[in-house]
Amino acid sequence: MLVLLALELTGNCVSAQISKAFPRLAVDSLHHIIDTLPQPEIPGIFCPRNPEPGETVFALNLNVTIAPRDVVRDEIRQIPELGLAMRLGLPHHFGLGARLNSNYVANQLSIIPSWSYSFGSLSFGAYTSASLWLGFAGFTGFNTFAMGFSNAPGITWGFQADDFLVSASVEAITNYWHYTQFGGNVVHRQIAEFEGEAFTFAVEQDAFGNQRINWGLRLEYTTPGYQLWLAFSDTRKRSLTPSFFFGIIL
Amino acid sequence: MTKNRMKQLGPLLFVLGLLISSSGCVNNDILLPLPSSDPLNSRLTNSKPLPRSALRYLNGVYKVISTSQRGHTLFGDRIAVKQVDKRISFFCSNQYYFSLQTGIVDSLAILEGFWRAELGTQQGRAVMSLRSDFASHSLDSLVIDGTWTGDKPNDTNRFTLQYLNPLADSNDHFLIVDHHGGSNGAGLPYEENSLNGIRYTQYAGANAIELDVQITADHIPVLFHDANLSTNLVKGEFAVGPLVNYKLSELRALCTLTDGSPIPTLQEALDVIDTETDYKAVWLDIKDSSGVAPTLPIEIAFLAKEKAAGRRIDVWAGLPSSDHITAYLNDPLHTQAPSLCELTPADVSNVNAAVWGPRWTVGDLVNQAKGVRSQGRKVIYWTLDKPEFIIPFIKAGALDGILTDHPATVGYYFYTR
Amino acid sequence: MTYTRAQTNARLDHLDSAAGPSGMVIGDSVPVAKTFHIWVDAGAGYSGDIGALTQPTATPGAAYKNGGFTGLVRIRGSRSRFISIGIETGYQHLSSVSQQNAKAPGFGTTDISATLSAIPLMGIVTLEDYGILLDGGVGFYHLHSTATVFGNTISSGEWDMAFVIGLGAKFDLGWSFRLMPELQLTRINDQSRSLLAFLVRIELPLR
Repeated sequence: MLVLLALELTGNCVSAQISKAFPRLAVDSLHHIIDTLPQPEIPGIFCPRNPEPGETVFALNLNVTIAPRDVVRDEIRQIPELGLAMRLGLPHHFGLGARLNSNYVANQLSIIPSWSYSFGSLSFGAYTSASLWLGFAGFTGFNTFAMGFSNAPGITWGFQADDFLVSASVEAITNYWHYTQFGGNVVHRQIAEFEGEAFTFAVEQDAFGNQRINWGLRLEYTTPGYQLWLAFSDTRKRSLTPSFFFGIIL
Repeated sequence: MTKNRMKQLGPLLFVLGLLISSSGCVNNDILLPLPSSDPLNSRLTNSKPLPRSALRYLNGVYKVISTSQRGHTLFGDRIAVKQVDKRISFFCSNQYYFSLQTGIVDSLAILEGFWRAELGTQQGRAVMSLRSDFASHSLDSLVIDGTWTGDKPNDTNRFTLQYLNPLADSNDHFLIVDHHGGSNGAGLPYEENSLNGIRYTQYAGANAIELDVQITADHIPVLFHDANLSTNLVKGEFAVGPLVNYKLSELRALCTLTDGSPIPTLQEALDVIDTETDYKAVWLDIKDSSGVAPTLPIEIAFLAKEKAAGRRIDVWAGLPSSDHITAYLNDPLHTQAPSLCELTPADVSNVNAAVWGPRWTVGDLVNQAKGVRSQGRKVIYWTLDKPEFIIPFIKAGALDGILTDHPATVGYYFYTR
Repeated sequence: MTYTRAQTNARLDHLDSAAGPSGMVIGDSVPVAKTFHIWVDAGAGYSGDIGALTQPTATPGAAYKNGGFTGLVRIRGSRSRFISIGIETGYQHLSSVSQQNAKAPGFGTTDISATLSAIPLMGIVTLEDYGILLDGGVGFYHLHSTATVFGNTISSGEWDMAFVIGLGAKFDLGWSFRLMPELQLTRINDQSRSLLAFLVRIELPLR
């Protein structure tokens, strides 16, 4: 760090001399020095880089999913959810995350162990998201409860630019178990069914003074997921389901 | 700096690339054509027709006594065989069905046609035969023998069925109501709510049908499910937005259903049902309450025509909401137009509906259903598609029918119970 | 990457503000730019339906024209020049058709004259570096059809969800204006329609 500072100061002095003779060259070299200064590692929820061991990050999010028209037809398409996310740093670049998304009708709790590696401002990681979902429907026309379990291993990339943490991830979702209760009847099955893939693009940044926010888009290309459990669709056709999220880092 | 920034852009380029690729990955419905027969090799060439009464004799549950391992995997060990119009249908346990045309050639009764999956795209051809005088012999000795072929060349498999016992219901008292006017959940290559869909879904197990009714700008009831003209259902770049913005003539000029057929009117659909099908009942799912008034006169006229011809097809105006009930009760014609109410048993009594249509997600409601049936009304649950949900309702009894996207599946589990 | 004198001064100012009286940068932190920048740009060009290139949408005998004028306006903002977020809207003429004696089953034949256009309302994220811009966005397109059939003109439309990506370049025009040619691909999801647009934007920083 001191070496880089020295370089920067030296660069300042040198550039001051060079700038008189070669203004453009001086400017570019100075920026090169500024840009190679190491940036502080800001912990995040979505970025691959796990927090430092023992460090935790919390976030509160609003997610809005647009249900595919070919599954829900003319019925309700915008599905909002509140989400709470947590991430704990562990030794040796490991981390443990947890997410709870809920709109009462469909709720999902995910446990996400991960490992990451970063070099400079770039990082990448691998994770798996083990999820239990619960659905409640006791309103007109429904006396139904359902739950299921899925797992989604994935890989993620990201980088830091100033206070921006930008990340992208891709995961593959498989359903393992599904339980449905309707009236006095119960049906459950244990089948490993590949549901499809999901891609997430997220940005975490400073906003509103020192408050950090996150926002992004998740695209699922899957058979109907837990949020559409009430459709009871048996289609094996995959549809594109986007979800937008916005939240604050607590 | 240059390399770092390029690396940093990498993941974003990847994500954006996925956006591009995903833009091409959204499937439209694939209306898979039925496997075509080879006219030169058809065994029904120059055949004599088999009378319906003889075909009905074949109704029953059969055991599969000979086929390949793949055949057992696809079609199971028991099959429900049922006469439908001039054809024979087989309903199998893993959501497959056969539709076979019939005829007599020499001393053999020939059954020839196709098999198809209700879910997915697997299909093939089948040719079966039995002695032509089968109707004069005991059912216990009845054996139907033949072959089925898959989609690969030379994939021919033996297929032999032996009669086991009668169907649970050979007289169509139990209604298997096909959803969306011939939905392609039966694996047919026709769009939902199309005239061909209505014609052919009976061979996939339906003995009743549900039609979605929307109203055009000139107040003509047509068959269409969605409020908007989406590319899921229509072909026609310049027909966009709510269907109610267009008159029937304008719809006909600007768009077709995705299978190329025109959007049919309710009247056209009822005419096809009358003259070309064996359906026992029609459920009119009127999508908007403003559609009740234009629909009731058509329903009443159809019922009068059937009565005059000595035929019996039940037609019910669907009332899925309190707005529909209000519109129905305010219509002076409502006393002549039987209805199907989807709300509570009290609402059913209030409108004097002929049928109660509860959502299956409320549970089997056995006691309530028994109460409704004791009033002389029917009970039809909707919309049951998965076997694990269909079976409990069939076992519980206390129902007169099921609305489904998979009539062959319901047919199998009901007829073989 | 060439920085303007103003950009260089801004970055030096931020370093200075983090430096102590000795002029040394204190601690491990790199100063973060806190000034919020806003840019507005307007562009015009041409867009067409990619699907129509392989799947003709008009019936035989129709004079069908795929594509037309595109005009888009975007406002975006950020504290970092590298990544910014904004909103885009505008007008896109998608297609038109003119046909005589088109069949209308049950109603004989009729002349058809119809046009299809769209108004986008998209949230856009822009990544920018080395004079290259990469956009991605989601939002909604209002598809609108005007058709004259059997002598009657029908106007009808709907909102559909859409995704867009774009690739552009940036050239300094002086007086703070920038010229930005861009290639844009839009997917209107519910219509299963893909649009390709080429347009030239002029950008002006507002702040």
